[in-house]
Amino acid sequence: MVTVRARVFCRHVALPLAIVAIQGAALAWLGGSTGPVVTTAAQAPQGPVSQGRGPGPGGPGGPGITGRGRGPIFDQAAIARARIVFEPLCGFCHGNDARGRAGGPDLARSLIVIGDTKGNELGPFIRAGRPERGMPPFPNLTQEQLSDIAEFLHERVQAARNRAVIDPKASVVGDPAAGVVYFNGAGKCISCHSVTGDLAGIGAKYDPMTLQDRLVNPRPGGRGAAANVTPRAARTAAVTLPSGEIVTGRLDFISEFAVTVLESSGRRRSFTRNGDSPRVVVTDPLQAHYDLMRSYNDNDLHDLTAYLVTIR
Amino acid sequence: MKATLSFVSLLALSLLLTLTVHGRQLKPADILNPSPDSWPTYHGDYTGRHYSKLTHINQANVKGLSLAWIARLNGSTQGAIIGGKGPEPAAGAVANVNIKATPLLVDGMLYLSTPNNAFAVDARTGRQVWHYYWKSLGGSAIGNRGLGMWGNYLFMDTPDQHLVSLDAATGKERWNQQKADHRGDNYATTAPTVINNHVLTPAGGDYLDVPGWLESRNPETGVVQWKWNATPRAGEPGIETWPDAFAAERGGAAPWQPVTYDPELNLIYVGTGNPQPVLIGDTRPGSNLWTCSIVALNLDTGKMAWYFQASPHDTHDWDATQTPVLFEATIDGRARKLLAQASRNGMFFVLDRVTGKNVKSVPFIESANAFLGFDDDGQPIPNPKKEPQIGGALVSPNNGGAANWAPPSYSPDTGLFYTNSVEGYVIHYRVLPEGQRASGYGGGAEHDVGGLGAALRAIDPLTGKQKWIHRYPGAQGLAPRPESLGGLLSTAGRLLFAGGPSGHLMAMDVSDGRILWHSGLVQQMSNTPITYMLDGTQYVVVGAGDLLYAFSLQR
Repeated sequence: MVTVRARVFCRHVALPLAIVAIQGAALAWLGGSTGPVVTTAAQAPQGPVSQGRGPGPGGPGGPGITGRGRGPIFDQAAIARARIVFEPLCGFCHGNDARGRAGGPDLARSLIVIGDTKGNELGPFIRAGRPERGMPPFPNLTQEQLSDIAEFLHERVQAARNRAVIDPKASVVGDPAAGVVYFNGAGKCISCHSVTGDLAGIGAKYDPMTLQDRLVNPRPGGRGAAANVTPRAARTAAVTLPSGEIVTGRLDFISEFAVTVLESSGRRRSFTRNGDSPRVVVTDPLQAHYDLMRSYNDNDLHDLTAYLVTIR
Repeated sequence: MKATLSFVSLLALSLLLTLTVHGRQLKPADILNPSPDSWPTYHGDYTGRHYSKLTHINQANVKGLSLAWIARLNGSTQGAIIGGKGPEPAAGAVANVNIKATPLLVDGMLYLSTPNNAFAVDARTGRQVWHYYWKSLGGSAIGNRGLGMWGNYLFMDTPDQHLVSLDAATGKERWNQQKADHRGDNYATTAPTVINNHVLTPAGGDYLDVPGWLESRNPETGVVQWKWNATPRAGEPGIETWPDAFAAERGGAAPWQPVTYDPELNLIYVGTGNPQPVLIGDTRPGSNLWTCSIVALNLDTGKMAWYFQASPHDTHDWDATQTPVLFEATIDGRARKLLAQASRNGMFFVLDRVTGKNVKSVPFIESANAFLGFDDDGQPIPNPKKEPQIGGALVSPNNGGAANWAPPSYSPDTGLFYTNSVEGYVIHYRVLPEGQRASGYGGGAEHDVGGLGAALRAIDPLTGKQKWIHRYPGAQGLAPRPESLGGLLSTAGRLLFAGGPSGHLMAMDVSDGRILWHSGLVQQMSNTPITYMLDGTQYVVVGAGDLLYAFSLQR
């Protein structure tokens, strides 16, 4: 990819770095990366999580439900019973997953299913069928069976809205030996880290997905976790006042018009900014991670993760 | 044709007749050439430039810009005019009044909306004149971007997919029309665009793989005039870019932002949404027309003249709904009608808006890494390795995109295209269990890993080079949503009004990005600045949360 060759001409941003903590995190929720836990029928044994993107309980059909949040918890035993009935009776047209085939509609998008509550509409509908459109009646299904099928189909709707089940362990695809080479070589990880020092036991501390996410950016900005910065990773600022005094400390806030520094004494000092005055230099201990972001190729990342998960 | 003509003249007659009843009417022609005392449509005019010819506030005097009034939108439904078919609002309920809308300004009155709410606010004083509340049946209330206006009628899209028409003088409902069943995961956030006797309004959803479309309705009656499906149906051109009609009919592409319009060509320019399922493309091999595209449609028929696909076979939620901005320029001695878009995928496109032929394609963020280059038509070539992978694919931009719905600006004075931009990174994991079929956002997991900050960029559309970049100090090392930076406004006073992560409104020099003036807001600007003249005073109006601020020069 060709990069933009831009003439950078910006008098007001003399800073190599800066931070904003709140607004990005709050708004990133709309991006929906960190979702609530929802158990689903397709749950794997490791207890993975489904990342919620869909609307809340009742779905978009529920009056007044407008947010994106936690979905309902489904009765897995009922769903298991439903599948035994559903697959032979309904699967040929609707698919065993109920998501539709050429012969029958996708039931996760069916307005009859979405509008149903515990089988109140579905039960009579299934018993009567829709002969004019090729769906036979099923008058012999019991109330319990219909109720189970309703539970299964509502779970299908929720599964269709939500992100899929995640098994973090499945994400390890790299070559640990190549990871060692990258760690000690091109990645220059070794210039700051040691697998027997600060990274000792890192493979046991995080699941592999989280480990990979955090090795790209240990300060996962924009995911609501910006507060989880260890003192070691905190950005510092040096503000040179007109008097020549240099105020240093942890960077608390910065904008075009102000900078706030938390001194080691605990004193919080704010200064208004006008262009380059006063001079502000921000230092970020994680700068090497940001430099790597642009240059990673995915294989390096996978190899590095495969290596680090072995550090236990 | 005759019937249409007589219909139009009848409408004109009825407009004239009602003129005396309701004060000044907004005639369709008024939007073609907006007067300085108006902001009659979402983009200010039909070009999508967010540019004003006003010069009363300019580089020489902008230092004197000061607060004229401040207004808080009333989130209580007490005293509101109530419409809609949903349940009664609970006692003490407070509506979502976060202002994403670009207000309209007609005859001294500002009209704006939030999800389920419409407001009239006196533009001279900030006093709320009426409040309309729609009892929604459901649907996502993530945002509402504004109203459309025709004569004395306002038009609002609702979360439960109704188009509601209000009397602008009183806020009383004239009619409502259901566009789609919200239970099927259709919802609406857009500002309807009114052009001649057409109200243009989209439909679409997010989670359940519903089809998207744009429809045109009669402003008087609400009756559908035409409907354009954003993905092809069986037997239609474009169906060859889908495996079958089943996939295409569930393929998304909701055109969820206001259109732009060239009256000489009688073409509207529409940006379309991403394909569905969103992240996993297994069930939709092909380029998936007309998802993630810029399309030109005939205003009166909805018939497509041309398309350009900004993200073929997208798997990253990179819709191409960002404003298609219309401008003119001379290239190789020839006057050209052009269109530019800073697209969510990080690519900047310039097209000939007569033919749709590509003039320029170039990345506008440095971090973009998911394309292999551009094809002969200037369309990006997706790198299949950057689709969600089991081991993770590190991709930039992230879901929020390099740009999103907040409008850019184009200044004919500088010939520059201004856009906010974000360099976010995300790891796309493929988490679809074997043998399962993805739907909605299923099968993929997007793990945001921050980014390399946000910047306001001034792009020369003819070269693709960036004249200047303002990197927001408050966003370095982060990836705020692009829309959180706010929309942009440029003026003939050679000023660019912008927000950014620090919670200020800033006035910058259009030619180099120098900050000439700023004022703190209670929170980040959440909409797009507008400007207008009333009684010899130029106002700049912005929204931040539930507050509307008006600035003017101190006398």
